[in-house]
Amino acid sequence: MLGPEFSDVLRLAASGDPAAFGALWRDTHPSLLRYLRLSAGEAAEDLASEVWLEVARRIARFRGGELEFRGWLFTMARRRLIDQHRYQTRHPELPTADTDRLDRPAADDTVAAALEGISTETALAFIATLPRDQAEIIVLRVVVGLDAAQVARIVGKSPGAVRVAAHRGLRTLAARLAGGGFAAPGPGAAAPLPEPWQPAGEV
Amino acid sequence: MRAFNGSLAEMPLLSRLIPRRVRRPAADEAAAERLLAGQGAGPGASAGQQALELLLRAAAGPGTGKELSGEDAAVAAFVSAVTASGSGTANARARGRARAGKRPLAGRVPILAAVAAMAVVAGLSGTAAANALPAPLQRLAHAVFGAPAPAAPGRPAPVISASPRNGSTPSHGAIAGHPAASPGTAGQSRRSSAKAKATATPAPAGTAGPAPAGTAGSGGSGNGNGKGNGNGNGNGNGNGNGKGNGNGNGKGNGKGKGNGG
Repeated sequence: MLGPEFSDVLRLAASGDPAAFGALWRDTHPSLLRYLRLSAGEAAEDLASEVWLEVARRIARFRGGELEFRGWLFTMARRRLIDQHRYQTRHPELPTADTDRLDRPAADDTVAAALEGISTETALAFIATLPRDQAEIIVLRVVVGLDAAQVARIVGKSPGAVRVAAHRGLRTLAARLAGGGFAAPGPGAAAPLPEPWQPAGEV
Repeated sequence: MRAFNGSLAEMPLLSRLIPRRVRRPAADEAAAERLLAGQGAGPGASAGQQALELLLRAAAGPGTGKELSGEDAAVAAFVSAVTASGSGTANARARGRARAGKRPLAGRVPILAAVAAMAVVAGLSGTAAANALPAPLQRLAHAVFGAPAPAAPGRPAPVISASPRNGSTPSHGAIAGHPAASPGTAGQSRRSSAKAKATATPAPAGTAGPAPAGTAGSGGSGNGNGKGNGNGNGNGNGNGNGKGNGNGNGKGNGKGKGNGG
């Protein structure tokens, strides 16, 4: 989170300053990518690029603080996910090769970076085993840092329903951790997608 | 049979009836909210909550090098987008104004309003010329632009001639019982192509014949029944009953044949 300097950064980015836009991107892009990977897998990078292009086109008209900016950004991201889900429903694709291996980091990456990636990706993959609505809400609250009301606006539910789903998800995660159901995927593995993503409520 | 140890959870039926919120300790919800807000499980947290905290902290960790590797491309895309569309604040305002100008009916509203107003005026004029307006409106039209005056109460309704002659424009001017607007005037045809203004000239007393076309006798008040055939040659037959005609004998019946032109 940028904190107090967010308003200045946003103003500069709105006036077309590349450095300010870069600061916004560095602050928000990792959580955006993690949120998109939860449902879109390897298409997350493309979707994130489309979201940032939309941000670049519309940022001059945005008004609000940092949390509102994140809510705006992830609302656009969720719409992209819904569009992609509709497209895949109409144009199903059957993968013929395991391309996940091709997207692994290069072997000469530093060990620290690889370990860092492992821990984050493993945690996200474990969260992704939850039902989709619970996983989405937990990522929006924990990874993106939004409160229940903002998440409710994004996913189209009431704040109470968002809290209930998040608490159920945490209880499930805690039970799986206690029961030894935590199986860490290998590095670079995509989050499991047990069933097609169904948006809980379109915004 | 197992002995009841006093716990609510040991009572299967009761546990189904009691809402889950009652059975779930509030401390768990508070801890869950702390975990979701990134504040940690807090002191005295169970091992499960601590493991959950580690998991969520890992998920919310800082961006990795792989995640941040596309910054240059993203900034380049931003610059090209700004260059292509002028994404600055001032440009956004200008685009907003331009977009407002591109709304489908923007700028055409005055034209449409003028066309609609002209259509209404033309329709009302035609209706007034046909003497088909309600009496108050017809009087107003009569006063404003000389439309036929409405029929007086008790008089026969105006009859509109529908037989144009000589192929000219039909004239509405043949109005039976139409009181002349001016003394001695017998019948008016308002069409430009048949501007037959029949002026009744009172004949001398005792004569009843066509009066020479001309001006009505001064001082005569006449009821003129004008028939304007609207054939463009300005022929009008006027029957004028005048009082106080030119010779001053006060009464005269005259038939005037008006030539309009």
